[in-house]
Amino acid sequence: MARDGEYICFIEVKYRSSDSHGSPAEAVSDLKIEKLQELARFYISSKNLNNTDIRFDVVSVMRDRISLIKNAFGI
Amino acid sequence: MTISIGRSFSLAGIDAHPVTVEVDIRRGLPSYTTVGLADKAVKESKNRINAAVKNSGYEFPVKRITVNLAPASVKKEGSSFDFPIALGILQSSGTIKPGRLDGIASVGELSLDGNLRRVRGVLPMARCLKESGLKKILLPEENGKEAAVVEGIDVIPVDNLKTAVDYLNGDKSIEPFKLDLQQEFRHSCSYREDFSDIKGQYMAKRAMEIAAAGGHNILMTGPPGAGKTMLARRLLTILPSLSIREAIQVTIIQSVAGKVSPGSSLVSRRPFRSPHHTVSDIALVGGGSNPRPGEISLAHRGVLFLDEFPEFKRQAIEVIRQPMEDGTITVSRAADSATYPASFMLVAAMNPCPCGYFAVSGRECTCTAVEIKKYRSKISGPVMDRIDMHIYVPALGKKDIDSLDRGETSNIIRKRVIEARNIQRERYFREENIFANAEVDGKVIDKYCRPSKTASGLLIDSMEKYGLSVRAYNKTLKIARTIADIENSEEITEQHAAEALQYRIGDRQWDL
Repeated sequence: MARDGEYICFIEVKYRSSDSHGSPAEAVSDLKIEKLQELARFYISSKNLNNTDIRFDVVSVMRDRISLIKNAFGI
Repeated sequence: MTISIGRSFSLAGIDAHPVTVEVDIRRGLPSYTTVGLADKAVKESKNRINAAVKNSGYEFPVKRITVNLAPASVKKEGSSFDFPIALGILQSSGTIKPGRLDGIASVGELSLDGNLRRVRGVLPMARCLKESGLKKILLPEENGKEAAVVEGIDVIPVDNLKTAVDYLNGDKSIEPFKLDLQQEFRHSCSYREDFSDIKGQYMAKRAMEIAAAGGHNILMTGPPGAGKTMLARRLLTILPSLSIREAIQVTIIQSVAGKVSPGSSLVSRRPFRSPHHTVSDIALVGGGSNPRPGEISLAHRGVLFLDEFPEFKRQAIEVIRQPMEDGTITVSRAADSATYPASFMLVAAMNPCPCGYFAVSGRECTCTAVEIKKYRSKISGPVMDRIDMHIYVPALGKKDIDSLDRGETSNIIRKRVIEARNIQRERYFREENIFANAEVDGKVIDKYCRPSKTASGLLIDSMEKYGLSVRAYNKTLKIARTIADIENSEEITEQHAAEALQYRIGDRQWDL
């Protein structure tokens, strides 16, 4: 988790050593997204963050190449 | 965080209703929800709006977005809400300055690159705008002319989302679209076809003239290639041109059906619809789960031509019986009902038998009596009874064609038709909804269509001899009235009645 300006970001980091099974970002499946959203909901309610901007980002790491996708699956 | 309120319209039948588009944006888990009885096309707008906003160079807010289309109890359909929703989102997220959407309506579909696409039903929406007291509407450029038909409102045509935002923020000015209705209306009616294209067929042409003058329905019977279709297509050329009031009605129907061509305004020609005989009854009268006008409404104030009449599905023909009498059609569905105007001239064409050559000299008919009976019985008695004029269009040989002359041009015939129509308009000025002889109903027929003594005697004798119904008698009387009007005669004489009778019982020669 990180803070970017007004946003609290939930960041999923994925690593692949080769692209033989697709890029790391592709490995963020629907199920994973649901899990992250549930996690976010739990975090918001437990910390009472109801009036905060939330964002989901994905960091994909391919060996030594790192890239950040902001708002990867917001809406 | 903030809420924005915009205005738009939804369609029901041929009327538009005001819809308030509310967009609320607040902090929290990013989400996008549309509420207010929106159909699939409205819900899908989310993806179009997202792409259009980003591709126009603006930020799409990563927030909780709720879109409400009020009144929430009215069904909303179609893509015309893309634009107002996008404007709402841009105002709520601060791109458009506060208050700039007040009193301004908008409609339009967005493409992914932010350009605006034309939508259907803009003319009734513009009328609704005026009625609801608003002054200004933003819409796609291609719809501009159509909406500008309504006077007293500012129609602002925009080509894409960015232009709209700049306009609303005051960074750019756009002149309201102005249309000179009279000018628009004047440059209009010229036809490629003409009655003088048809050689001979004087009888049929005369019948067409009478039908046009009185607004009568007509059925043409004849062998293939006799010129039935040619005659029908040229009927438009002898009908009087539309009045502005009629033109607006016609344009509204076409607008709702999405049939107004891009960049055009008023439809100035009478419509001519000739659906194929495989047409379904819904396509003919209108309907569907989201009701749309059918062929009979698209032919409003024009001609509905049904070629190969007996080939139509029986159900399809029967459903036009009631609109033929009433001039309107109400389509009722479980969820919805819509009323469309459907005042049209029915022109039908058929062959005398399945092979087409029954009683044609020089050709042998190969049909059996049973086949012919079956073919003709596809059109029920009640439908036949409702068609005022029945004529026979004979096949002409090559020799005849060469020796016959072309006859009068459409312009000359139209002049007579217009004169006859003027006489009728004056006669019926006190009656509501009666403009032509064909529309005279049983209540007032005795008042306006009084035959002379001899004419009356002839009609009553024929009625008995040929077993005509009372309706058939009335129709004959109305045709006689029209013939008298063409000849500028106050009285319906025996001669007029005799000619009218001929159009009513002329097809008896076909009886087996």
